[in-house]
Amino acid sequence: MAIIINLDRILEERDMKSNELAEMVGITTANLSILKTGKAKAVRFSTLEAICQALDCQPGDILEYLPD
Amino acid sequence: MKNDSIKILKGLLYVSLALSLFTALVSLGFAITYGFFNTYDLNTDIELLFPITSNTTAVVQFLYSMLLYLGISLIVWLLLKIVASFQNNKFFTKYQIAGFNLLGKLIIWLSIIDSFGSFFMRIIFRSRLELKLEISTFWLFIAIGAFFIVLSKIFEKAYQLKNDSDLTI
Repeated sequence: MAIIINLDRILEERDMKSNELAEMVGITTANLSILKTGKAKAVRFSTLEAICQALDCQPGDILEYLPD
Repeated sequence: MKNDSIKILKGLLYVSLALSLFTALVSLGFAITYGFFNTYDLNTDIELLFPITSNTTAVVQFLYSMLLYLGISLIVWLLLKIVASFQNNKFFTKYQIAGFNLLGKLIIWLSIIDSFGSFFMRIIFRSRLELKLEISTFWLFIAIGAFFIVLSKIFEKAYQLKNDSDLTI
């Protein structure tokens, strides 16, 4: 997959658990899991904004492009 | 679709299913009666595709009629299953896509089989060659079958869109 989600790494750096992030962002843990595992087809700007706000990071820290 | 309208539709389909199964059963009964009990009567008023002129014509016609009604029962039963799957607002599932596709194909095949069956039975039993090019029930059923196939394609597209929507976080 070309787009890699680095949420796990950032969560570990921030010493935060998935359910805490899900609660802060306002999405279900199931949806967060879909995002983390790279199964998501799209991410809303509002979700991305909330995640960046909760983790105090930039979108580029979460999303990474890797050529195939 | 509201659950009430689904219930009404299901009720109507149950009645249709019961009627078509009953007709198939009656046809089978007549076929057995004519086939095994030699009750052929020249004064009979029963006429299906052609007048009953012997026990063989009667048995063949009633068996043919039974098979057609069994096919219709299968179609109604399948439609019933699809309508039932709409309950609890479950739309655009793989089951519905496959169901609509199968339903359309069954309707088209049954119409073609019926058309050919009647054509050949007319040749055999009446020694008459008939070709109908009018807008008949045959084309109507072909159109209905094609409609269900198109509906299945639409549901397939909607299923993909729904999946994409569900996977948008």
